[in-house]
Amino acid sequence: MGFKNSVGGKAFIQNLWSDNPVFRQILGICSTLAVTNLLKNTVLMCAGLIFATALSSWTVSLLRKHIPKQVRMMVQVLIIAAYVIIVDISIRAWFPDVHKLIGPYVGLIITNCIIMGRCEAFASQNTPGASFLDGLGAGIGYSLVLVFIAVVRESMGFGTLFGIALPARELWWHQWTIMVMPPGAFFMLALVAWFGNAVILKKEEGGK
Amino acid sequence: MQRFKTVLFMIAVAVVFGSAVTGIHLLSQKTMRENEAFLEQKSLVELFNLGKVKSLSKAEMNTLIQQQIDSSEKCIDPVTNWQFTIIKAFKDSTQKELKGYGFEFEGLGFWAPIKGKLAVSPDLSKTIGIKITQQQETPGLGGRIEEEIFTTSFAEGLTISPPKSGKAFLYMGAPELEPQKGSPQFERKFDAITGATQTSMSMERMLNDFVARFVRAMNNRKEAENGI
Repeated sequence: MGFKNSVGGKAFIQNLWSDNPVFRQILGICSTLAVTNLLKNTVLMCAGLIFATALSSWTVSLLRKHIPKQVRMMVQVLIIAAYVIIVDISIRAWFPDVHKLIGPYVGLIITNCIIMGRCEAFASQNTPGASFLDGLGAGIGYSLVLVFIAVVRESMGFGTLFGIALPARELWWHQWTIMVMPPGAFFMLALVAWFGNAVILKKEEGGK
Repeated sequence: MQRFKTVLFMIAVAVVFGSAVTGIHLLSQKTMRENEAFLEQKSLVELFNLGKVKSLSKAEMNTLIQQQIDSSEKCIDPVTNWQFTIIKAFKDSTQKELKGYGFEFEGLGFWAPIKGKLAVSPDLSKTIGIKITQQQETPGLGGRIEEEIFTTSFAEGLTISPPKSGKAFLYMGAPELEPQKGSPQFERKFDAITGATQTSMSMERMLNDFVARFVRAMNNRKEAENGI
């Protein structure tokens, strides 16, 4: 059985596009709106979320047969919180400059619905390997959307990418301040959700 | 029995994950303390422009601070009773010529407290630098108070000599708006950050408050030294 046909492989691929957590499931919206005005912050936040999602799913799956049903969500939150705190401590210890930039957001990964959603919907019923791939796919799917939004917002709002000025920007670029403010994030998210859903629905209709 | 098992399981899970987190925290504590000390030293080097931070090793930075910074004196503002440390920076390791004074300020920003250090010339007439050491303003907007776009005018020198009664030490303004060139306030004006008016206003308020306290405290110190 190939990667594409395995349970984990299928979940991984679906999370990237057809079941994308951001524009299909509308999960993880708070951070999508909060961090995407700078690409650097977005990439760092995404790296933390991919780590936490993949490992939380793996751990929940590993313990799934032992977790009493009535406390399963408490256990999931505890596991997620542990991984997020590990991410936070690691960044603070080894990348202090980065921690200054995204410190306030790292703690908020705990409340990201994507992680809890994947643990509850997938990891609690599937094998650790498949759950790890599912979490990884969800994290990467979330990241792809956020990075796209951040590229548009930062380039339009600041005329930079990763803080580096766009080529010859004084000749053609005009600042759209609204793009780096919260309304810019709402507009971009709505456009991405509209586009993503339109393309997927068209494909689904075409397949019938 | 089932309830007992559930409680036991929760305790076991909490112990395992709690221990893992505590272990990592303890392992990284020394590194975190070193990082904090390094960031503090880095902020002083940048504040007084004592050297190029990127080209300095941790040891060189430490030596530079030992040789050119003196933070041993405390001072108090007679009006608010605000007690603070006077950071004295010297031009070289002989510590004969003063480069400037510095002090810490803090206040509420748009989202959370902002902390920083302001450096002024030895005659207390101009600013010579500003360094924001803690802030949680909106990244890319208010968060830019850490960047050169905001700090340059302070490094270039804003007038902070006592203003006329009722007037402010420093003014915030858009580059093209009041106070205009030639007006008495022009030399006291720093540029607001576009899209971060509330953060800029907080900075204006907090800097005026702390500069006033600092100037009063330093005048008081001078009078005490002269035996007035």
